[in-house]
Amino acid sequence: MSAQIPYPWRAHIFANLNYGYAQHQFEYFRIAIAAFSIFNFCLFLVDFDVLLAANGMINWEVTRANAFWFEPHLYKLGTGATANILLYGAIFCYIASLISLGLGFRTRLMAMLAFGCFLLFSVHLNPYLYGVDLYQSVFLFFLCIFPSGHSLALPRRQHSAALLGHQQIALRTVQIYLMITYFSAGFGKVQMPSWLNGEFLFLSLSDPTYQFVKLPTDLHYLWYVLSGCLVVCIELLYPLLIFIPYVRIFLLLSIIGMHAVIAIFMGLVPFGTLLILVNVVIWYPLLLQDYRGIRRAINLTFKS
Amino acid sequence: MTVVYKTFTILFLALQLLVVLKAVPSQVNFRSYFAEIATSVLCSITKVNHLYNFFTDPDKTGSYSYTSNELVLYQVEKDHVDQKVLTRDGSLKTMVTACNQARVSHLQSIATRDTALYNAVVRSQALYCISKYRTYPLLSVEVFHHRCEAIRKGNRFEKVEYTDTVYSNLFSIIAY
Repeated sequence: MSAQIPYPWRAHIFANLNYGYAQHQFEYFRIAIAAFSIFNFCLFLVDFDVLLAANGMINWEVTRANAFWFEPHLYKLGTGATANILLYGAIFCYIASLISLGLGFRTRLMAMLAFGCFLLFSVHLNPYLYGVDLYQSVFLFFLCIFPSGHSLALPRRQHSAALLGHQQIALRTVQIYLMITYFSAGFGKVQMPSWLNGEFLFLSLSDPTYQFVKLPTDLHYLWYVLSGCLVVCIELLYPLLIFIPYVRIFLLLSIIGMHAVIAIFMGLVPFGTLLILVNVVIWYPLLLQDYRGIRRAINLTFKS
Repeated sequence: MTVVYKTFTILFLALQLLVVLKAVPSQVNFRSYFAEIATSVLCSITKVNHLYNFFTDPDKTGSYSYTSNELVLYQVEKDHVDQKVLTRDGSLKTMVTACNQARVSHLQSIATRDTALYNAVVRSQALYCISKYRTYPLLSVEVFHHRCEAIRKGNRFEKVEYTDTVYSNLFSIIAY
């Protein structure tokens, strides 16, 4: 009798690449990341004078001084009017490359251009960055490495078996990367008793500096205990539960709910949006499979 | 090409896993200065050296703390002092639109992590604020560190805070 081990670990991480893979899935991922990157950057443009301008709230001299010598910074290339021209040029280049990436025009080149511009802006905006920018950076980096523009691209190209294999490897990389990050987050939390007795969640949700929409803090303490334990469990067990049919529907709904709460109550709107988007895009074939199974079971029950 | 992609994936994910499990030795003896620089470049680009538990404290003490600040502009009008408060709930939320509030909400926490950087950041903030509201020539900055505890009373949690002032300064622009 052989033990039932989740499929990726059975042989190696590239085993059974067809499992949970739908046609064009990595191309949907490319479109989602490009669209999200445009959305995220537009949020910076809304507060251009405060966040992006050379004499903004944290001016370029500060970010330049805080950067390593090898990190790109527009302040190194010019100041005053020249700096503004360079900034507008970089903004145009970033948005144009993201639109081209989303449309599937010369995807690898555009991904590299977008990633380069993103690195440039991440040096300029360093004090304002948080987790979402880290995820976005890694996803753009994946798009630089893996082929992502063939069947859903503006100049539509032949989709060969080899290319399909490469896109399946790419998707598997994103899936395992996400598993590692969730496991990492859960592993950090499970070492802290305050996460399991609800105190940490209560205190973090009542942190006034991050409060976006105020959550009533006079809830029953068990609500915080159960929510804290649920967050730790779904993050820590994400790499395991995602392979259990029907259980993964509840896992992903919980994950989406958790990110929605983070977005609504803590104001981390881009963070919540990106992780909901990525979770849906990389797991939707498995979710659809389970959904069809549940529907079939319900139909059978009613017929009998 | 398949081998290249698979190799990349294994290396990238293995590095991520090593960082997450804290299996990388804290002191790696690089043979040369350039090896160290190359590693820094690689880490900056790939972000493989980052942990993903953004929501937790790195020392795993389980305690919760946050940093708030209060920025107030002052002007003298006739015989009274007029003030304009730039912060709300201890952060500079009011300076940006709703979706960007989280981006500025943690700026003051630099004061507890990197004093040199915060000195530069707060001067830049002062320059920006005084330039924006030209009629207010004086800016007062105070940064507070809040250590929090949750105490259970009946079926409810109650928050107890211990607040320390970690930074305070006054800024003005002198035009010659």
